[in-house]
Amino acid sequence: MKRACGLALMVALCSADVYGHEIGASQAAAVFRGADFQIDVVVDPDTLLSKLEAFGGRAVSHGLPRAERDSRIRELSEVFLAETSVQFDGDSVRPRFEYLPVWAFSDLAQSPSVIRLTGGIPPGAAHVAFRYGLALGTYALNVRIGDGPVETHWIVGGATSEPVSLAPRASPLTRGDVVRQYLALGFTHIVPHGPDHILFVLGIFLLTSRWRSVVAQVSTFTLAHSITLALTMYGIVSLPAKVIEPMIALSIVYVAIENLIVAELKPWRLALVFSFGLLHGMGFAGVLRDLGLPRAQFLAALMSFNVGVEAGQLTVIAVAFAGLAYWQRSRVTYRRLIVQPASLVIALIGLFWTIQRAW
Amino acid sequence: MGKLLTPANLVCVAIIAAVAAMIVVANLRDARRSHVPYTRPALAGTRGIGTSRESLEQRAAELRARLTERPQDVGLAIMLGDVLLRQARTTGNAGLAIEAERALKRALDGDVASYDANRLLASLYLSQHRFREAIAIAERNRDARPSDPINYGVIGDGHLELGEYDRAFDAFDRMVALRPSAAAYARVAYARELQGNLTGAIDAMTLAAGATAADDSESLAWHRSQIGDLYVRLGKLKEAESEYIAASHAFPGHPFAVIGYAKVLAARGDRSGAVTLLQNLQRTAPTPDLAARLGDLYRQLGREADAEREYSLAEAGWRVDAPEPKNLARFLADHDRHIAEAVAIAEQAAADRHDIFTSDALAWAYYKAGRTGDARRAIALALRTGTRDADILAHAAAIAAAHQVASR
Repeated sequence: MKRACGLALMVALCSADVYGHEIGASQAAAVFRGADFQIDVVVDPDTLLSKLEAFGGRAVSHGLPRAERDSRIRELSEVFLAETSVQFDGDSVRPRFEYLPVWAFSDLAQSPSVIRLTGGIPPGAAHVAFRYGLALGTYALNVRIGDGPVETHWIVGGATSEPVSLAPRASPLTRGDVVRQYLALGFTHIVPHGPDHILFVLGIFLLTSRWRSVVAQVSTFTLAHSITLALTMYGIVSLPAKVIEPMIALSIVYVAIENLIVAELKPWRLALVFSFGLLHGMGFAGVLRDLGLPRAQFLAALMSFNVGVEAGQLTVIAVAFAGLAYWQRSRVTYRRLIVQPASLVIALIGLFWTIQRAW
Repeated sequence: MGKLLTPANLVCVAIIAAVAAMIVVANLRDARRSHVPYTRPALAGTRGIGTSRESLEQRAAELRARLTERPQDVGLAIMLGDVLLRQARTTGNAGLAIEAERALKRALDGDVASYDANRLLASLYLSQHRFREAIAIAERNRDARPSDPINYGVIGDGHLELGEYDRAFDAFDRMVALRPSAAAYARVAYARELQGNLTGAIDAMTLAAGATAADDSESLAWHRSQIGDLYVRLGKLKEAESEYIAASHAFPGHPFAVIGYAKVLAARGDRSGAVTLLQNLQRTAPTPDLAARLGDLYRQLGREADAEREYSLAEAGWRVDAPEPKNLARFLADHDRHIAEAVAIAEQAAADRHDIFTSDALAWAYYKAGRTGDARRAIALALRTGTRDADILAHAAAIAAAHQVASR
């Protein structure tokens, strides 16, 4: 009895021994641009030769030296073309066959070998369909029309794909789109989605009502988190979220408690804010990684996100300044009625988060 | 008035206004997201939704189109996933499960709390042989809704594939106790079969077929084919034949029914008829398993060259196109090809999975490699559920005989 998997939602079991649900290494990448097409079929040379010989009715050879094997693959190109078809609006075209063994590029190359099929798209063709009969299972056909996005079609070997429209696809995001999108993401990560970062920035703000001091701290914080955000996104440094998140919460506790103990900015404060900024940067990176960065616009997205975060932080400070300006006229009253109670609340919340995130 | 209109105050007011606007926009977006359209899933095979080949194709196309317009509708994604899984079973297109997973995750958009979606996701992982992940999700679902029997089915399936039979059977017992259904009976049947109770398995699978909705033709065909397979194992070819015919009536060309019928023909000596059936199937949905079966039939017909060609295709397919280490190892051992490699592949497979079929593949590879002691240990594991699988029993007998010879 060889049923291999149960499909709960389908209220039944299925047999993967008969119909395997493993996807293999076979795949094809097809680009249709202008008047030409190029289809790269990823192959394992040894098994490809076995298949070509089997389908071509030849005796199957085993363990041939590399050069001889590749030469036989080229000799059997007609078998490959007979088992493959490229159809435009239902009419087959005969592509050019080219075998590109990976070792031709480097003896140590790790990429797979490729059969490249090229040709021209008939004028006025509206749809294309593809068949690769040498696959004994499911393979992915990745199609790009013009400069549009890649579309994946899953096809069973031997079957012809559904017709794929050759109409141009919507163009991918422009740099302006990416900048706008990631600016907004950075900003909203602080306001309203980042209560921990908001409390930290408020903690920085509460200690002193002088613009210069606040700006010095915020700039230090910015510099620090920009460094770790970039380093983390480029994969140079990395710490697990399980460590980072409680430490971010702890940094809030520290800043708030210091506000309760000291009445004015001390020299060590900037160094500490810098250290905490490094931590928060890694936290931002975690979020950014979850959101994903467009590979083509990586730097623009990273910078925009950073600027968005900065805008969010400055907004928090500006609002706090505006809201508390009245109380800041009397330093004693401000400290007694605003700084101390608010710092206490921030410290308690930070403490709660620390415990919550650590356990 | 003039005192209020200082540059500093104006900047502050502007910033406050900007922040207020942004908060409003963000909240509006969140509110909109909470009102994302959600189509209550109506699954194939229920509420009159048919599961014939044409119905599945039509429904998949329709759901794909609707999901393009409303990519965040989790209900639509669930329905599409359900249909694609059905199609995967009848076409052998394993990529459809990946398409379903992607559509579902895109619809979820980071919201991992959807119970219905997670239920489907667990099934998708099972179909992709990601058993541990499937179990983890199903266990979370079970904790959220302990009275939903489906979760126990997925948990049981996952453990079963990993060879953790006690856990699997416990989960199936719980599933049946909660609500007897076609899904539950089918699992009982499989559990009985693994324990060597073939007539009990037929009884349970017959109950499963009876509990299947009349318009769920795909499920009906699948259940009937399973009953047919059980009859073949009992040597009751006439009963098996009528089950496969019933399956083909329900869902013409269902691969399980076609393969089953070919087995009946071959058992009756009509190997050419069996070859024709399998060749037709291979033309539309080739698999390494089909190639291996065809190779065996050709060999029985004395067509050695054709057999060797099919064996080469089967080996190439299992290596590259549809990798399944357990099957590849078993195939290599069965056909005396690359025995040392078969042992290595089977050992690697057995390190991950401890089900009786993987243990059997390992035992058989050891036997062919002349490692009788290792083969005995492995075949003991394959026999531990009391299975009456003919291949496993034949392997066990051969290994026991070899051990006796070695002992003398």
